[in-house]
Amino acid sequence: MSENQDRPPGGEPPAVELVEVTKSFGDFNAVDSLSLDIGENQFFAVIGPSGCGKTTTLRMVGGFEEPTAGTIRLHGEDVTGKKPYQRPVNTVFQSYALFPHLTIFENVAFGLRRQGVESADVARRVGEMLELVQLSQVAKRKPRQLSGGQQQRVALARALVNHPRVLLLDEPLGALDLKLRKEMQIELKRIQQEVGITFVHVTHDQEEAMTMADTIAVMNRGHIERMGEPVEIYDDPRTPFVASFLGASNLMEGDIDGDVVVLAGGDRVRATPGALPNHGRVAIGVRPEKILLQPADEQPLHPNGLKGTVTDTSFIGVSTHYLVRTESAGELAVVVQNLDTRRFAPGTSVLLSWEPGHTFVVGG
Amino acid sequence: MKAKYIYRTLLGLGLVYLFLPVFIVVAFSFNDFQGRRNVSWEGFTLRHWAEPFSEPGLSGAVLNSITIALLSALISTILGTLIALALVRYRFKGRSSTNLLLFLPMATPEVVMGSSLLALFIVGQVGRGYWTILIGHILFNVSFAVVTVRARIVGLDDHYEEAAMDLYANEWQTFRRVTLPMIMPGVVAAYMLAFALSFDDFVITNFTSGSVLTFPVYVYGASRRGVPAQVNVLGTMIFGVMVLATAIFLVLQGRRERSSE
Repeated sequence: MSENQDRPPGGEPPAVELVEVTKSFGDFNAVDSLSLDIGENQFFAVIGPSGCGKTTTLRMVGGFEEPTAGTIRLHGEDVTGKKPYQRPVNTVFQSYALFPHLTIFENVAFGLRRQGVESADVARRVGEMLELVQLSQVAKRKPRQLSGGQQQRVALARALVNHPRVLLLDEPLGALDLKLRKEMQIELKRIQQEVGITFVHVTHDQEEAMTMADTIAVMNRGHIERMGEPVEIYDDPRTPFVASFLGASNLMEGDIDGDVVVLAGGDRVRATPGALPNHGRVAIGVRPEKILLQPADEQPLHPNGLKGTVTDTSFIGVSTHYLVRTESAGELAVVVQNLDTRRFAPGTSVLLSWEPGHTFVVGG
Repeated sequence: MKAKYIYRTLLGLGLVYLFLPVFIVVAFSFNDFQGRRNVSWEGFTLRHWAEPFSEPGLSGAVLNSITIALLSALISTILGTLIALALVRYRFKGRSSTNLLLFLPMATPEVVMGSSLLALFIVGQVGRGYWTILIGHILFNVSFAVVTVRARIVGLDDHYEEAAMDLYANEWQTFRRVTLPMIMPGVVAAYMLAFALSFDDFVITNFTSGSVLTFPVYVYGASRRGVPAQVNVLGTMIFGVMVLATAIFLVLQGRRERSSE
């Protein structure tokens, strides 16, 4: 893996390459002319609501679904039409699909045995892999005797032991409870860095994707709406869908006047210089945690200021969530860190303000 | 408390109802009767058990029944398993009509099926005998095998097979290493059911047997002149073997389920 870095950039084909891939079920295009490159050693997350085509995309890479049109390449090799067992990828299924009639050892050894690896090597590699996922002590048990988290790690070990060049993960943490899921997120990231192979991770949990992935693709209705590093696409989601799917957003509409957007009530909101189109109507947004809340009689601390009335206050420990009704932009969500004891009860008049740089544009 | 006693009494009566005939068969294998009719208790003897195969024709009939049951159960379980897999796993033209057709042999009265088979064999100029009995038994057993195995496959998540293929098992290895072991309880149950159905089938066998005798056909014929006690002896033996086989099956299944829990 390390030798790849010595090669000139662009010389190495991407680990996974989809070229105008379409998958239709009857009249419905689950995946619609999707093109995508996933680089070597990336932790790549595909997120989107159910039915957006993310699982279908992953299943086409694994070979469980054939694309209706388009080409799929793995490290430059065309694998379209090849059977799952002819592809150098392995999958961690959402249901784990551990073989209930085989022991944990035999589950992990399954792929090696099918490839004809010598049994001494099988024992060594399975042993090493069970150690990596810290399950050596349960090697002789059957899957059903293990907890959900342990089964999840067996599923991971069973895939990784084959040294796949790409590992596909289909909502692998979906069946775990919240605390275990958080632990496994860190664990998966550690393992990915340790084994250094490409992970393609499908999830509907945007927080999970942001925690683990180097690159996130947000899918909607069979195509990718936005792709990039987590910070980049969070701060600049570019479409209303991405803005509301990835985290929460306050979206508002207005008319462009120079480098200012004039909202319905006449309030003027600034955006990052150069981010706005020249003229016309525009939709902009701001994240709830970027807004500062002050009593109405104070001077705004940030250039973009709106007046409003608190309609709902909920304290959730690390922060307090407000809903504030404004004349210019309807109801806005505001998240305030609980740094001071000042809390605004519903009915209080308040001032909302934020930095122009936190205003993003989601479409004209 | 009262409801418990009523429940137990009803259960006891139900069991007596079920097992009284079996008990009579077993008891009369020890009956020291004189003459031809083994119908009233005349004293205890082991003489029938001393020579269970002495009755001419009976042993051959039992042997026919056993081999036909073993073979027809084997063939119909293999066919039934493959048909069940196809019906559950694949969408193909004629799938729903196949489903319907599979129920027909179960729904058709045996007399109708037996006489139709006879007509078919006569028209086709097929001599009746061992092989026509076998064909008839496979015919009605396949439906039961499909239904039994299918129930098991329906409960089987597709992801197991996908996972096997993902782990470099080709279609045959996937079937051999994953699908078959996982549906095995259904396959064994289908085999045992098919064996039992074949072994005691009389109606269809009587139409298709020609001059070949099976155990039920022999007993039917013998009942007119007096059933020899060897019938009770062999009947008891077969009953014992079936009980043993069922018990082994249940124990193994119980162990399998416990070990995978």
